[in-house]
Amino acid sequence: MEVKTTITQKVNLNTSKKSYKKLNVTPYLFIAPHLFFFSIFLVIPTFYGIYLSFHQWDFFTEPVFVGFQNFADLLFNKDSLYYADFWNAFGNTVLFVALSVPPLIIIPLLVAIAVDTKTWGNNLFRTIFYTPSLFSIATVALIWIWMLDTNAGLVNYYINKLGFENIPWLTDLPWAWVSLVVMTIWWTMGYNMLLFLAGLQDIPQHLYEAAKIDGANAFQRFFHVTLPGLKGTMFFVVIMTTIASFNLFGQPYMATKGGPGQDTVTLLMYIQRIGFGGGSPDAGVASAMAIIMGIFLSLVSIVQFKIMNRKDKSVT
Amino acid sequence: MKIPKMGLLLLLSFMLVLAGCSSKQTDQNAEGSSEIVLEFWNGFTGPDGADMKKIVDQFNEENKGKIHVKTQTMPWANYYDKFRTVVSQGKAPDVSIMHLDQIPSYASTGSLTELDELAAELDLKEEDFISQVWKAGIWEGKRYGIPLDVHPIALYYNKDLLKEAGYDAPPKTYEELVEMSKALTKGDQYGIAMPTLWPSQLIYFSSLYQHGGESVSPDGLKALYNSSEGVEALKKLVDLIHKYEVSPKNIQQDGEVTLFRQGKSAFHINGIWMINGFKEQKDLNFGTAPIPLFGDKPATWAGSHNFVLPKQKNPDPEKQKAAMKFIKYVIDNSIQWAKAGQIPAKNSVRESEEFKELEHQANIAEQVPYLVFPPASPTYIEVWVPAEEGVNLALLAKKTPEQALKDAASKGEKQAKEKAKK
Amino acid sequence: MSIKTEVKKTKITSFIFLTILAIIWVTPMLWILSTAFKPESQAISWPIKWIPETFTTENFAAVLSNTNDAPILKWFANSLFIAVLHTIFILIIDSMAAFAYARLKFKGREVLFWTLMTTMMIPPVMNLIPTYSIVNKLGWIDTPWAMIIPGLGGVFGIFLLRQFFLNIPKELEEAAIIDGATTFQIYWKIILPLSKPALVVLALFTFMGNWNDFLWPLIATNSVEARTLPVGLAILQGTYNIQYAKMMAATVLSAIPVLILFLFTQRFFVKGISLSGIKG
Repeated sequence: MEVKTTITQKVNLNTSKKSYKKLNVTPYLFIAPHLFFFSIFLVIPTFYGIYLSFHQWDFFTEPVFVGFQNFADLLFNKDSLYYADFWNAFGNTVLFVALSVPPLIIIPLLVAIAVDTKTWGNNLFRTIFYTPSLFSIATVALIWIWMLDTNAGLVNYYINKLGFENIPWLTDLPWAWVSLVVMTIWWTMGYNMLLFLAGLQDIPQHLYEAAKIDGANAFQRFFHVTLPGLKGTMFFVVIMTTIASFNLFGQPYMATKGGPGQDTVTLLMYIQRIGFGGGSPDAGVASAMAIIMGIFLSLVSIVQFKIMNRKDKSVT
Repeated sequence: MKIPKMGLLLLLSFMLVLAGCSSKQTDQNAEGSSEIVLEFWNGFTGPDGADMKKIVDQFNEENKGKIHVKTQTMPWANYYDKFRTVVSQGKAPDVSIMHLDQIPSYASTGSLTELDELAAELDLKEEDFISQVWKAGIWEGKRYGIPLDVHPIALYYNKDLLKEAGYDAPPKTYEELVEMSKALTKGDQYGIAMPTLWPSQLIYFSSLYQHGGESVSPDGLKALYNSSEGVEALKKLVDLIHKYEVSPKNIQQDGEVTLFRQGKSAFHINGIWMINGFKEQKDLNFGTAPIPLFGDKPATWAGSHNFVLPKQKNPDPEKQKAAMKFIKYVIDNSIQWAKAGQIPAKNSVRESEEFKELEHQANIAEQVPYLVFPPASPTYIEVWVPAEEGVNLALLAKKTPEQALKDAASKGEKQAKEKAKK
Repeated sequence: MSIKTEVKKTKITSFIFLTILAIIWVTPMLWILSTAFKPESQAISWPIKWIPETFTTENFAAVLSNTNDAPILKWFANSLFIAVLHTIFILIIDSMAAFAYARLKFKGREVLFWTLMTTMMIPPVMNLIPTYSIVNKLGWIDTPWAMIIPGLGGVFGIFLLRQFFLNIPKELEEAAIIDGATTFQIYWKIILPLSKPALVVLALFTFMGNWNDFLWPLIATNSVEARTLPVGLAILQGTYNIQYAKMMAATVLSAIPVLILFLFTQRFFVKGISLSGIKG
């Protein structure tokens, strides 16, 4: 055995020397195509955005350099044009993220597990939950605005039949948030469900069987086999869902128009208004807001990453 | 698994050929002719666009070989996005439609061509047009827009519901509106459906001027709507919902349109552009009339589509002349455009027999002598828009009219001051 | 015996849970279908009617027939061509890059990857202008390439695939290296086949995102013939007069290709196929 091992080791060394030389160039060949398009279509625009954030620009005249003025106006300067609205939008966005991300993780996870049990009609179920994602935001908004119509909509029609008063789903708080969250879950749950399904495929069956043999019940199998097995997928889903929720735009833009008043205006809506909206757009301030948002999101992601890694260590 | 892949490849190559072929064709048309090709942008999507297209096609027929107009249509919601992106990169269209209230801010950034001389060359003058809207195309003493139409708001009413309640004419004053609405509000039917978002701002604007109030000072810096007239004007709208209860509460975006189409509201105040949509509702027997008098003197909000010539990097006088010729043609033939639910700005077209036959348009055009437009100032929008938010909050009973307008005024003036500093 | 009843119990619980949710999920979609088959004036009738009083296909016909200034089939072909090509390129480019970031050792790998990740955090709201400028200089405005190429710099797919690649046990690769496999062969013959669910999901999401994209194709195309389906359909829709029935019909038509694609990919979500190589 020892002799064999030595010979095998010698053979290994030779092979790895060959692969080592190959590995020098090959990785770069693998990442090159992406980096090519990345630098042209992502890096340049991002640098352009950073450049703009230090200027004020109305799209037609020359950009005016203002240094950190935009950032100061947005973050600190109570008297500026933008301070109050920016922080309002920021708060609204964080609220939406807090309200929408947990259900957008838990519900798809439970659905994926349920579908994965291969119960009767699970193909149909999968299709039903995924189909809403096929619709464009315009359609989703239109159908929900109409269903949630205070006076002529489907939902209040049935609520009236049950004896209750009309609920102002889109014009008053807290209903506006409820509507936005429900609408978003209906629309995007399918994505996360598919991702979890794909992740569940990668958990080897024998781990479940071993756990069963050890006497673990369903809950224990979930926490000790499923969740750890989904770690990678979960990380991806949490980050992407958080980013998506931070970027909430279409639903409030169309369904509540940011109302009542400005209570459902999100960051991206406000950025859009300042960057492209009527009146006097300022591409520089809009860019600065986008960058602030990006920095904040990165911090949130780092925190999420750290939390999930720590959980990982405690499981092992 | 392999067979679908092959099928996919075949489909792909087929598409490639299709896509390649058609793009080549359009190129060939543009080359090799001394024809002037004009890029024309507008936001007339859907059925209205069809009417404009007829006029453009006619023009192209009559000017074959000399001028050809290529139209690009996109939803208004994204129109200005594309305008800003593309024009800021130097690829402006040759002629485009712009809303009247947008002209001052684009003119102030130098992105529009001055039209005084070009208009004079074609003998376009004030006497031929509705004078308020002709005058409104001027900013800082120079002309930037040529008006195509005016589109005011109007009172729509359900003839059947009115008849049922014993009325055969729509209300002319606020008192009549309230009285009739009370009679028409029963069960799940309402006298009127008062929107809390669009177009409540337009109704408020009209009510404001009807009470003798004003929106914004001509220099675009002071808010004039939080006067006692302004508060009274807003109160009249709010009372319909909360005091007289002739309108349902909490109507969300477009809810008021749905209610009118369903026959659940007798009155509806909205723009002239709704005509064709309501006509499609076959079981809706509706009439049109000037909006009721909320205040003492008649005044009605109107918007206007204007032709503008965006500034080019290298202006081509030949193209500009061709563009003006096109503009004049459309205006002269705007009876076709009136069919889309618009009122032509050119007097001769509006006073023609053909126009008078368009029942609804003619009814609504009775308001022409007293249309009100926002004052031309780049900071108008800064000062006015908070008022729209205030109107929304007051209609939702989240603020009193006084408080709503007061808060809006201070926010608006602050915004204008900041912007003027830049 | 007890295992069988346990399995059955879980199946029954799952079934009940899924059915309740499915009813909620399906209701809006049934409403979309119901509306699409009603004549326009009945679309908003009151009281609410689920079954159309007059069942009609006129909305579908209206959307499909206006070929002169609304060449639906051409828009459809454009969208299909663009989305398919874009998806294929993404799959190739992103899987190669993800493989490198997950499995290959090279200098600066972690720094580079996390830098890529941070670009996902910044909302691309101002990207419109520089992208337009670049695409314009390349002469791609009003061509399919404007919708196919710029998105290839995206990082989403790399992030997704890397997560899945990281989960694949290293033993398989190590065995392959011993057998003298090149890096490319490991990528092609081991990693890719084992990642079918992830690749399918990426393909689906990429296709859909590209198919439904609206604002950029609106800005990047000028002529009617070059438009994609969502942009073209928006032009058919009047500004203020919401034609519910026609819009729902257009939606249904628009969703069919992706639905077909999705149904096509169902088999990849059945457990057992991907793990045939890994046992014990």
